[in-house]
Amino acid sequence: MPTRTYSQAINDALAEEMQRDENVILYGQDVAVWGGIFKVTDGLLEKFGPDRVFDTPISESVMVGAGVGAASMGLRPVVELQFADFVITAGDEIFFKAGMWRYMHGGAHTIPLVVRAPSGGSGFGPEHSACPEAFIMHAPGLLCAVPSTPEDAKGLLKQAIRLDNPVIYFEHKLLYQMRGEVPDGEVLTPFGKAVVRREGEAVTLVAWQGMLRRALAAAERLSQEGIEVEIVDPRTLNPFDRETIIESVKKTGACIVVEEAYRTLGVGAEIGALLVEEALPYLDKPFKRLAIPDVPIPTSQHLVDAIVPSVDDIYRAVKDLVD
Amino acid sequence: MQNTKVLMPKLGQAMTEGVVMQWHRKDGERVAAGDLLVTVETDKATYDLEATASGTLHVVVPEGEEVPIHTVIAEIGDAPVQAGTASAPPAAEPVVQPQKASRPGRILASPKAKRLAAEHGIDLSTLTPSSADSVLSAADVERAAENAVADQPPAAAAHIASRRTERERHPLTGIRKAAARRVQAAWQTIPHIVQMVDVDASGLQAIRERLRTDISELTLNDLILSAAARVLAGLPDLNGTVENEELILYDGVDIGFAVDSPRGLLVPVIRGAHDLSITQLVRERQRLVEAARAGQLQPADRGPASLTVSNLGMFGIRAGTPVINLGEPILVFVGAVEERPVVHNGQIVARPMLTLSIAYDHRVADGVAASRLSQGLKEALEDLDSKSLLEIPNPQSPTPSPQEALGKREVRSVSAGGRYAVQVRSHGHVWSLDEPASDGGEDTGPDPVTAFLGALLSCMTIAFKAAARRRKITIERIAGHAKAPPKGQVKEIALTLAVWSAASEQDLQTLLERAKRGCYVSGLLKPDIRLTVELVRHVPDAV
Amino acid sequence: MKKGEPMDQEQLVRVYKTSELARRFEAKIVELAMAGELPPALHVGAGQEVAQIAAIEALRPDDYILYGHRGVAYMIARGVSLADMLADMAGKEGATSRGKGGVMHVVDVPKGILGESGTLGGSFVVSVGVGMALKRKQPDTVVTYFFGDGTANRGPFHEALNWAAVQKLPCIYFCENNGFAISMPTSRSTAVENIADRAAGYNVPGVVVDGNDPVAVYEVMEQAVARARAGHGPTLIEAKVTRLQGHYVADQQEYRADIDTVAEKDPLPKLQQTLCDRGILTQTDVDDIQADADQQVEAAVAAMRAAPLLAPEVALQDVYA
Ligand SMILES: Cc1ncc(C[n+]2csc(CCOP(=O)(O)OP(=O)(O)O)c2C)c(N)n1
Ligand SMILES: [Mg+2]
Repeated sequence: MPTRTYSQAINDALAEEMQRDENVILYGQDVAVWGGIFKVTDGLLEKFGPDRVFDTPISESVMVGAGVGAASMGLRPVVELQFADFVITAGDEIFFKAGMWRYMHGGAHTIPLVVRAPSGGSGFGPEHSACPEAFIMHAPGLLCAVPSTPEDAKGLLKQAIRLDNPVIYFEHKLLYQMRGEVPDGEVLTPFGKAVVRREGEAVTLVAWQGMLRRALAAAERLSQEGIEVEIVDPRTLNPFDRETIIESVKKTGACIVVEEAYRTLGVGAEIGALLVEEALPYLDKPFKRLAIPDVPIPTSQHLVDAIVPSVDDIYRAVKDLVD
Repeated sequence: MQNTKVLMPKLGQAMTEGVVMQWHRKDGERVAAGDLLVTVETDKATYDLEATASGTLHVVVPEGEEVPIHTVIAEIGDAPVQAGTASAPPAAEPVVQPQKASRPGRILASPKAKRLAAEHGIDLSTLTPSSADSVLSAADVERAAENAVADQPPAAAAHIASRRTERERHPLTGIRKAAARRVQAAWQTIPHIVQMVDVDASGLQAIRERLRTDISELTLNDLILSAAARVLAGLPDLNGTVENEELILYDGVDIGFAVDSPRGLLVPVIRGAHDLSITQLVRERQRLVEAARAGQLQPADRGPASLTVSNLGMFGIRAGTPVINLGEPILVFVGAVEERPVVHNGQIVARPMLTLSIAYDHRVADGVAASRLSQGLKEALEDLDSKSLLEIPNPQSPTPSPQEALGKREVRSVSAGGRYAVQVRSHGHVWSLDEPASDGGEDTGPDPVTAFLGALLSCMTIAFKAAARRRKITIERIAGHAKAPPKGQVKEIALTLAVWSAASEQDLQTLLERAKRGCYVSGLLKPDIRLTVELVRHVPDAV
Repeated sequence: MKKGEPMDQEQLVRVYKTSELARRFEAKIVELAMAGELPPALHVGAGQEVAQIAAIEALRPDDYILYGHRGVAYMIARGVSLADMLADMAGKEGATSRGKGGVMHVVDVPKGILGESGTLGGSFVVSVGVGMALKRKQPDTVVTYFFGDGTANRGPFHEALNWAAVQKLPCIYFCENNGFAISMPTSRSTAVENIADRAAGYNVPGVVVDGNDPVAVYEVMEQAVARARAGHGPTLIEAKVTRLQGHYVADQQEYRADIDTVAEKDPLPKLQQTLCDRGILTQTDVDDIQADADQQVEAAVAAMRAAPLLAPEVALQDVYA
């Protein structure tokens, strides 16, 4: 199987879908001539021309809002925000226009819009480093993808572009250079299907993107000590594959969610509530969250390290739970 | 609503009746579930019972009276007390047993534990939590369920009757859990036969003394490891395992040995021990012992082995019936060296003796085949020859011990004046590293990254060839190519090995996998640097 | 800016007729709201409907509209069923937004009514996307967004006008400046005298027009449409209009200094007068038009009353396609 970086996989997905459907357009700040500040859209202007790939002014509201308008009139816009944090900057347009335009008009519109949002990482400061997927997951009307591998990056983006609902597609900045196998031919990853990245009996870890990589590293270490953890990668947060998590917890009796986001009312909180509501008789250990204590994300790397869950934190949390 | 009945509980296997000692709540008072209700006494102990329902308390049996078990001693609820309830209820009628108030307040149990208890019909109040937080876990319930199946007396009864009282209970975790599982599987699946042979150890001791001047770390066990490897190498039919009704035979002898580490007993493996001189073997053994104690054994340092040696001689144990390690055919248990009376040339004399207890997988070795190894090992140990020990046994395929290479891993460098050039020396070799003129150097040697790429490529090539030697695959030539981005931080390195060999693509791929694992230089790369190694196979001309 | 096509007589009569219908329909809604039969959710458009309808008169049936909260004349001008709009308010079968948006989010895509943003000015940015799609998929059609003077102070105004201008989109921005945002006079909220003055900041034409004069409104609108269709980009039109009534149904308007004289500014009697003066309509025609309007309103009320309430599960529908 050929290997691609996560970033190349996104580029491939865009190119293939634009080739397939001429209604797909791509725009955002610096995406066309410059190829995007993370170079994800490199070469697409040359392939598809300025009518379909174009740069925008620094106007997050109209970038997203126009996406809603254009989608409602038959285009399939893919909008790149330079940083995922800006889903809040374009809050009205994300939550009310993208999320509710269809509902408030009684289903008269369909909004096949994709907003690509580079999330996570560090060194960018409090307004450029977040993984704000919990905000999206909380809001009605918005689908939410959190691909963790090049294959899923491609498959989920291609699927997102074909869906008739708005999708906030988080691409994790630290994964861009990650390489992995991407099957030849059409790659479409279904929404709402989690995948078990590693099987085990000791505890269920739920993690995605940056935290998934750390969870896998911690699992490797734990395995050397005879502790086998099960790792569930949800892949999309809306729709959210509750069954896979519940099935896993039925087996392990314990669950830790690792999240690169604020702790209170995060995705982990939702999973905790889900387990209490639907899997309580299977829980043998207190549910746990590893997340950013409720502070903004600082800029200095060592301060970031102090608050974002590390491989060590995960390792220790599992040990504490199973010992 | 019917009232909830409070029954005299059966608190032990032998208990037939109990005394109501004290009502903690008055007749007619409202009680809530969980309230301390009554103290009852058996011939062995007193127990506090909690209310299991809320409502008005109707006392049926007053304080001081003795009644048979299952007698209604009170009712809780707002219905009037029925006449005649003081008799034992028919078995079909659902009754609520009061819970033993072993801890103040409610019983703490995980939700899963509660579900399992309900499924198995186990009263949680009879269980003792094993975890430090005093919360009953699913494991506690499962254990109780197993005990119940085994028809053992319930925990509470055992608690009362037995002098062997349970002190602590720990779920097996980590290495201990894994080890327990493996040893159980080995014992259950491998049919063991054990042979014991006595070995005259005087030759062994003499040789050790002689060699110690050169190899200060040499132990008797090293000599046994070495001898075992060489003897087994000569008995290829014993170097095998049975898996899924197939006998799998191996080339090459890996010898495991037991090391006591802070994390439990570990069994590191000396790879290709039959091909090592005693000097090499001792170094490798030392490295493995240190790594095991430091918790740094690599996967390649671990089993399964062709044969494992376990030595409990220091505890004065003479012989035993060892359990073979899972996936291995033979375990050699080495007993203590001790002076024993033996008949020598018609005389009873004292000789230093040791006994080997050798367990064989009977599926691999029948008695005769096993005897060949047992006897061969005895003879080898009694007739050791220091010269052959010091030689590398199979000079056609020398496997340099990694330890031997490590001994040379010392490099010195000097860089004079305002130039970048660095002269590097190691063990008689001298080479230079520099920067190109474009970056302010004089190009007297490769730049460090390029030099590193050279080292990486060479190491991969050597590791590939070493793997080929071990598997006796002929390689005519390897041409390598390494490429990294020309400037700045290296994030990606692409290696290509072009290999001229008549071997199949699949064989070469296997060698490549070995080589990747065996290439120590690639092990120096940061994990986030992406290394790809591509193999291009060329079939040499038939000429 | 060069003059657009003048309005013909037939069009002017249509503006009058539609305005009468809108005026009477909204009055009926207020009546039913005061009686408790409908929620008091309408922001009455009385006084502004003449400008709204005259502007729409300059559009073709295949053009699109995004609108603000000020009344339902836009929908009436495009022929949306009155009964359905009442159903929108009553939460009954027939509601165009199926009980989700009420009178604020009336939608009828085939009639070019795309909807409304509940957050004021939200449609600025949506209009840009609509313009982008029209340019690519339905060239020669335009989208007009109607909004209030207060709404012009929201950020999306700026982002949308700028980017629409850059892309030369077929978008028309029609500001109805009624001098108030609820109780806040425009003079205290807005530094420029005319909202249209801001057009210079986006290098688009900015036109002020008397919103009480349907002919003038039609003319500037006609020009803006022609410009948009020709691919020259957006126009910002500001119609100075009169809000005859309170912001919403029960608004007592204590804040309003012109409360006693405002009725004099009503453009509808003036329009009727003009049509009669010019001999285009007779008094009988006017009576017929008014009676017909009342009859349409009564029929719509009857249809709304006969319709069943929407089923509760409808609340769960239409979130996702
Ligand atoms: C973002 C936002 N802020 C406030 C409101 C509440 N609100 C509704 S109408 C209105 C006044 C709008 O004034 P204007 O734009 O001049 O329109 P008019 O009511 O005068 O027709 C306000 C403040 C809202 N719906 N959305
Ligand atoms: Mg206003």
